[in-house]
Amino acid sequence: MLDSSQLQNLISHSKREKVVIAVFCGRERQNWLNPELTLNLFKAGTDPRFEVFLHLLKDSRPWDKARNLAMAHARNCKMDWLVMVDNDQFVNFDLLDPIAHAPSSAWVITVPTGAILDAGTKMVASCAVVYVRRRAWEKLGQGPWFRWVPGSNETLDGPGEICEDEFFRKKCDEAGVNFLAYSEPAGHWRTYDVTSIAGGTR
Amino acid sequence: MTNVSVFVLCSEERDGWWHPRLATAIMDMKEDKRFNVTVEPCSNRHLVDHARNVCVVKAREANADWLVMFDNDVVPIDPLGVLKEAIQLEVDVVGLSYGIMHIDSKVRLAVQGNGERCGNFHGVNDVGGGALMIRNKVWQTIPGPWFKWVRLDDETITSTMSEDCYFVKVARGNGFKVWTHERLAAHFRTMNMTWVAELVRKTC
Repeated sequence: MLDSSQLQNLISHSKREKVVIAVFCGRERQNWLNPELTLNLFKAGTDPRFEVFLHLLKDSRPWDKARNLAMAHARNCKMDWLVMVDNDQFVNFDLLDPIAHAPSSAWVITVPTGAILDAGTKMVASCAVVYVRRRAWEKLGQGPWFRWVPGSNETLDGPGEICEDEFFRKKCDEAGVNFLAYSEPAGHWRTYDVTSIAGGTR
Repeated sequence: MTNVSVFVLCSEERDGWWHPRLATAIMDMKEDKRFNVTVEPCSNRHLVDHARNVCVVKAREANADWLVMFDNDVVPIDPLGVLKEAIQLEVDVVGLSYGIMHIDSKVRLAVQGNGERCGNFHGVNDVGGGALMIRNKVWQTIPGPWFKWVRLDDETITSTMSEDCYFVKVARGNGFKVWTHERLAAHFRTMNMTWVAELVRKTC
C-alpha cells in the first residue's frame, strides 16, 4: 500500500518529460564511451527533472542509419525528447540542462563542438550532441531524417556531397522546424598532434 | 656503412599500434642507402624502462653503431637526416622534442634546454624518450641498466623520476652531452578538439 507522499511522488514522476539518450558506440575500443561522457550519463540517469532512458546504439553503421534508428526508437517509445551523443563527446554542464532551459520554440538544439576539418580545427554545430523534441519528428513525418548524400564524382566526395547532419538541418529548415544552438560547447576527444600546439611554446 | 638499429615501442593492443605516419617514416628509413637500417618492434613489454633496456641490449648484440627508439605515437621528420648531422658533429645522444600533455590538459614540449648549441642541435638537461638516438659509445661506456623508473618505497610507490630522465641524468653524469634537434617530432594523443578549436580561434 502506498502512502500519500509515495503516491504523490509517483504521480509527479509520471508527469515528468520522458527523455531517451541515444549513445552511438561499439564494442571495438575506439567506439567505447569516454570517461567524461560516462559520468554525464550517470548523472543524467538520476536527474529528478526527467524520466530518463538510455539507448545504446552499438556498432550501428553507417551513421545516417544509426541516427534514423535513434529517431524511430524515440518516436515509437513515445518519448518527449531524444538526445543523441557520439561516444567521443562530453559536456561540462548537466547533460539534460539544455532541455530544462529550452524555450518552447526550441525543437532541435545542437551543442557546438570542435572538429577537425580540411580547413583546420573549428567549432561546428553538428549533431554530435543534439536534442530533438517530439514536435520535431511529428512535424517532419516519416523518416529517414538523416541521410549521407554522396558527391557526384568518381570518389563520391565531390560536389553535392552532404553529410547526414547537414541533411537533417536542411530537412528541418524546409519543414520549419526551429533549430537552435546551445550556449555552451561540448568537448570532443580525438587523436591530435600535441606538438603542433606545444611547438609554439619552445 | 653506418649500422642503425631502429626499435618501435609498441604492443598488440590497438592503443599500442604504430601511427601510420611513423610506419611510413620507417619505410623511408629502410630505403635510405646512406645507412644500413634494421627495424624491430619492441612489443608487449609493459614496463617501459625494461623495454628500453632490451632495445639497448639488442642493439649491442647487433653491433649497431646507433640505436634509434621511437614510441608508437611519435612521428619524426627525416630522422636519418638528423642522424647524419649527429655523426658529422660527433653528437652522441639526441632526443627529438615533441609535445606532451599534462593531466591538467596543459601542453608543453618534452625538453629542458641548457642554452648550449651545436649546429642544429640544442643542449638539454632533460628530454623525452619518445624519439631517442644513441651512439654505441654510450652503452660501451656505461653499464646497464641505462633506463630506470625511480620510485619511492612509500605506500603508493610514488615515482620520482621517469626512465628517460634517468637515462639523461646517467648519460650526462658519464660525460655525454645530450642534445635535441631544431626539428620537432609529432606526437599523437587523444585531445579535446573543442579546446583545440578555441585555442586556434584565439591565436589566429
